Amino acid sequence: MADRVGGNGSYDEYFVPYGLVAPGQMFALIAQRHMAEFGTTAHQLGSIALTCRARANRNPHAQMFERSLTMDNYMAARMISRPLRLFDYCLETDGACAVVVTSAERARDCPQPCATIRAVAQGGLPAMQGGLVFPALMRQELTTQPSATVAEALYRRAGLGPSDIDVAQIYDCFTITVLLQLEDYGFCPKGDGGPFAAGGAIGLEGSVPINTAGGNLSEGYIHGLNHIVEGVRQIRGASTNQVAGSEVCLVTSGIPTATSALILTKGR
Amino acid sequence: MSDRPTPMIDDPDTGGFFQAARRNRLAAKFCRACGAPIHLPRPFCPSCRSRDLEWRDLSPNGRVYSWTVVEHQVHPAFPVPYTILLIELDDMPGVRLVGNIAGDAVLNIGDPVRATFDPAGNEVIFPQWTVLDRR
Repeated sequence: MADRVGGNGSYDEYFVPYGLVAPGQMFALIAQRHMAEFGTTAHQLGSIALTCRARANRNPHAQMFERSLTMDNYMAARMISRPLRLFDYCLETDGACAVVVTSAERARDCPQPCATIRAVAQGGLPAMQGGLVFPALMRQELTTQPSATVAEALYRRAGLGPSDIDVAQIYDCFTITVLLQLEDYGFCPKGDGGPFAAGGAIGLEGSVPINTAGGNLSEGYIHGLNHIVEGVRQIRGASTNQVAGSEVCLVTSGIPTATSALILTKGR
Repeated sequence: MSDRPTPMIDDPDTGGFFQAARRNRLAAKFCRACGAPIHLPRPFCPSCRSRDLEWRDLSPNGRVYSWTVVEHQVHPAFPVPYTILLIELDDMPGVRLVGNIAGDAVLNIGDPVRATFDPAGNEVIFPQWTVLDRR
């Protein structure tokens, strides 16, 4: 007899029997909804993939360092779960990274310049749903994620706002994940993430350069810890895609689960 | 083709959904105290914390809230292409269910759908979905 799926608070019995078995399929449903509500296009999602790839092409440690990506490549790549194509998906990576956290006083004495953790926040939405990831499809809003709640607490604790962020490392398991967070963290109004990204705002010369090491999409998927490492590099002035004068860096983590974020600032 | 994953039908929180499916009905859990739908179902009402809950039958009609055509095969029991539907129920705006249909469906958000049920005699019965003619 086939094994039964679901039960015990997983709620998989509502999803897996219908072939909803992978997070990318869930994000495809969210992306389709964003497209319908706001007119978001494949090219706009592609601009996020291309931005991350261009950063990786200047990071010798990135998995995709030597592989360029054009919009033609992006659009011609095979569909995985419509509307998401191959390059809307992050990489699979064997790798490791580490950060050392200590007191501000002790950090001043270390050989490397420190990055100060200005604020952290973690949280969900008022009606989160249980289970793992698929029940997020049952929330009232698909296009606003727990990052919106976290952003509010994070900015309040930091005494900063989106316009103070010099550079951002935005968790990018999929391109649509970045687009939703650009809106939720207040870099553009809800629904404007597509034109905002495609208009160059997330590039090195833009208002909020993102994923300067290449991100999960093109540097490697180290579960987002690589985003913290790159955030520290930006504060130290040690990135291979250094943003001039960057003193405030936002680092975010995954959705649609309860999520978290931090703001790093130049040591002081 | 390997066997499709079969849902657990006797979980204390969600079993009522599959009991209703055996009667060829869609159902959701509601709070008797405050009237709120509790979906996905839980042992208490997250709005008012009451444990006085009941399953109520719902209309089998809904609309496509979102959809995706899966073209990259992940699970051996689900040959591609197939289309996953996210359905909002006509009776209960905000209450959604997932369904699927074989093949590469041409769909629009808002298309009408209706739940159907496996033939009687199957040990496990769970709702299947049919896309209706657009009106």
